[in-house]
Amino acid sequence: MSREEIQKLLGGYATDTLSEAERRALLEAALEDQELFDALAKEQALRDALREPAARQQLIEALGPARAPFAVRGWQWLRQPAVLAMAGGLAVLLLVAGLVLRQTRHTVRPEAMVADAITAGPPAAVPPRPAPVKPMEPRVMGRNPKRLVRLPAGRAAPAPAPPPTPPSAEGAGVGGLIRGAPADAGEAKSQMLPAPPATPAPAPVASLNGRARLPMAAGSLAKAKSAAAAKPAVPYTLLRKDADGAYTSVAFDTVLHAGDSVRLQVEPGEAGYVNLFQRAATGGWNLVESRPVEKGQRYVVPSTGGLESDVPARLELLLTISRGEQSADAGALSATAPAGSAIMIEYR
Amino acid sequence: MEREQILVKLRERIVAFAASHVQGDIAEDLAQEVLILLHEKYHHVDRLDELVPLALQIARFKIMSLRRKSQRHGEYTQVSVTDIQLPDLEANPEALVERKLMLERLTQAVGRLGGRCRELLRLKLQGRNFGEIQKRMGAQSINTVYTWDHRCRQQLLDLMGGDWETDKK
Repeated sequence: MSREEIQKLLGGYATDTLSEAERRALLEAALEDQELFDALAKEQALRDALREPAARQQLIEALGPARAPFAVRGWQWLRQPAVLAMAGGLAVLLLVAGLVLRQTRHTVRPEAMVADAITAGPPAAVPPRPAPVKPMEPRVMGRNPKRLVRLPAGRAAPAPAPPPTPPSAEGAGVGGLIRGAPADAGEAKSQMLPAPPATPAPAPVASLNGRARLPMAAGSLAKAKSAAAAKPAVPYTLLRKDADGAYTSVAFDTVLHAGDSVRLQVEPGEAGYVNLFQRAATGGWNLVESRPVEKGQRYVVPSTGGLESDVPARLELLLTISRGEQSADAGALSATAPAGSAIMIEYR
Repeated sequence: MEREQILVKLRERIVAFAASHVQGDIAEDLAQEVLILLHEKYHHVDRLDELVPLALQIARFKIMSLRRKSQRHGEYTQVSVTDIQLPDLEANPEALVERKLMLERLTQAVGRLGGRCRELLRLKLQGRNFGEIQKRMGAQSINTVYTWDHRCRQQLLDLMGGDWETDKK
């Protein structure tokens, strides 16, 4: 034992509670160490006092009742009414919190289902005519994607299976590169839709709704948002001028070559004005045409001529419907386009 | 260690210890008287763990007697060997009073100890050794008990004014 350890045995000397080995180690060390011997000699007074059983008993009584072992003390503490009340309260609190959490999750799930229903729309219920776009706002058509922002990631219900309707000419030639807003170009490209074979017959706009749900992946908030954004505010069909000079619908991914002239065929769900803008080199929007339209009628914009490029380029268009006629003043629109159907046409 | 070796070392230690309480030459005489008593009255005691406590006890009583007589008469009076025989000291009224006073101070001091120290002291007073105390108090090692006891002893000593016998505060 080290000197420090032996010094710690001093307390056992007075009460005579040292084992044989401890006592021998202490006394041998005391014979060699004057300081320890002096300390031992000072302890002798206490040792003499504690030698009497009566004195020991008096001190034991002065020390009070014995302390229960740790486990017993812990059990006694737990059995106190205040502790029991706290524990019960905590348990109730946890239970309520769990129920609230569970309820909250159940509340979120239907919201995801609603989002899917809006986006996907059962094909059987969709008439051959385009679904009306609601609500119609003065300048912007489209659903507010903010409603979907609240969907927690991974909680969105899986996208419904594609409609059992076999691929037909109805799905051809509709849309293009559809974007919720021009600023979301990267996101929009991920929404490029599969193209059925092009047919001469113009496809009903209704098929656009069916297509819009296809890119939506199950359980993904981001994709849910994209899908909602991909839903065009103004249903349209892409028309290309063929060799005969007539405009026929083409698939959205049809490769356009320099010199091709294109138009858009729209079939608005509300009466008003359909406006076609083209992104200017300065970043703003130029009004190509604003024409009055009636609900359910088909119109072609621009009504005269077509959009074309003599060189490989990308035309960025914006199709909106408003109640009033859009001013031809390009400054009426800010550099940031309002919500509507953003269309990207690439010439290669 | 042989008895004679123990006595030689004891003398050396007692002289040094007594010198811190009485004059140097008296300390020599005191140590000599302790050894004479051990030789004449306790010659049968030869074990280290008995000899050292006995020598310490005799030395303490002798120092106490020296102090008392010095205070009483105002002069130093040589204490004879017969005066420091332990049975007689046990019956000494002055020693009994001093012990009673010390016990009262101890009783007051232990009441101010912390819970662990009280439990440790109680077990010690009940005659438990450190190994048993370790089990009873759930200490991880016996060194832990040594440390606890060392601190508790120091705390008790502080509560008693730094000395077991007289309050130096």
